Amino acid sequence: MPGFPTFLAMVLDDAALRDDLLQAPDLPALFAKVLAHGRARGLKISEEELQAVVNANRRSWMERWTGQ
Amino acid sequence: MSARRFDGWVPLRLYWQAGEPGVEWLYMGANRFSDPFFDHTMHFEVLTPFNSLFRFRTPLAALAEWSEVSPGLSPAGFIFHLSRCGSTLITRMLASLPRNLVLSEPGLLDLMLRSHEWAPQAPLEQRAMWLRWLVSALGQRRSGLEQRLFIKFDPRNIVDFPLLRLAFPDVPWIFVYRNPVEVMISNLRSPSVLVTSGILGTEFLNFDASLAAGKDDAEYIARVLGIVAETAGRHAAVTGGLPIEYTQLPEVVWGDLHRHFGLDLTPEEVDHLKQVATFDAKQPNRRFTSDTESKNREADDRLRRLAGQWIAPHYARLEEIRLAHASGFPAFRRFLLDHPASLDRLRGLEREAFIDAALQLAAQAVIALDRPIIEKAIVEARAERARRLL
Repeated sequence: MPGFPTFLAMVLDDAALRDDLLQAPDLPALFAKVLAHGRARGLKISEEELQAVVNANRRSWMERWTGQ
Repeated sequence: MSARRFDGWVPLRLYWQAGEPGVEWLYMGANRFSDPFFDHTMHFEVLTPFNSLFRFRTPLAALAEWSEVSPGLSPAGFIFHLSRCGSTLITRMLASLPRNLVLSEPGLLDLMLRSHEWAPQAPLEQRAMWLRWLVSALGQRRSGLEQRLFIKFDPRNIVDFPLLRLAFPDVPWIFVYRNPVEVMISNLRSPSVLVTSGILGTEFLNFDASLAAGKDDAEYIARVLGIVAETAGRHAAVTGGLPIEYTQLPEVVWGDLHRHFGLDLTPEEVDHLKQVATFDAKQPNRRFTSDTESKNREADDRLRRLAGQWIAPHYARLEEIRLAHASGFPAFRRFLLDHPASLDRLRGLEREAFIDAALQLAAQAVIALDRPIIEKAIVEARAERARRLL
């Protein structure tokens, strides 16, 4: 199964999962939670994939005026 | 995708793909927009570990579904301004009351108002609908206590007023402005986004766009501010926008603005607003200190000449509209609505006795009123009554 996009959809649908992830105090702790939850759900997610998403999100905010 | 999933999620930014708008969301739960500007709050929110990772995009149509399932608060008032003129103080005061939800210059609302740049083919009605969906999503209650939504716009958005009016035809609005020299000095000291060269599109700069190259900051600032002031005066004259001059602050908030926006303030809330007004709006941990004198000292002859040439005529027009609000029968009517005992004194009086009593009350309330104005109001009231009977 595709990794992170599937997990993101689960986070949107599952308030308990979301609330647990919100407890993570920093990114390493959040990554650890995501990898554990992902494994439990049979998803293949890598730390590199998560870091790439974080980088893309940072860029997205910086480029918010571009409308792209 | 079920619309219910957006509980606690807030539109963060807009993007366009092939002329179709989309939204990026982040999670705020019940957090409020607690900073002087919407984007400041978002800047902190995007940095949380959760929001660093979990952001998602939807087509704008998702907002339509969400607005059906969970309509946001309807806007109760719009705030436009000339920049550097006290508008942030007004939003801070409004936002300090838990029953108000205040959106202060959300960047994505500015992008939506300028949707013609990305979706030039989209009809005006469709763009108005997009705007309503976005406002509904942004206007979701945060703490649950909010009852009224106020939105402050970027100064340049006054040129997008017709689209906003189409989307929200009945929402009262104000335009905040200040002595042109003082606004110019502030923008020269530290340029606002509005007057930063290269930010405004050529359709906004209906003058020689080569000025935007930064060759002459003072003239560029004067002419941009002039466009904003002129546009505001033009719309205020025909749609009932209330001009508010800097020197009316902060009392105007629990005075004319109270009535204009229907704030329905309690005495305790007025006391609270007075406290908030003692602090600097943009740096709320600091006490407010007036900079009017220092700004005027700093202005040289050329700056005064540019302010006089490009802004002052429009400032004068705004003042004219403002003073018309503050005098005449409309002002007297507002006074009576705020003072039921005075209204009772006029009830049941014959024409001449009514006019005499009204003149006496107006004089006591320092409202400019004379016999012809009252007689005209009586004729208009009778005509209105006859129209209703028909």
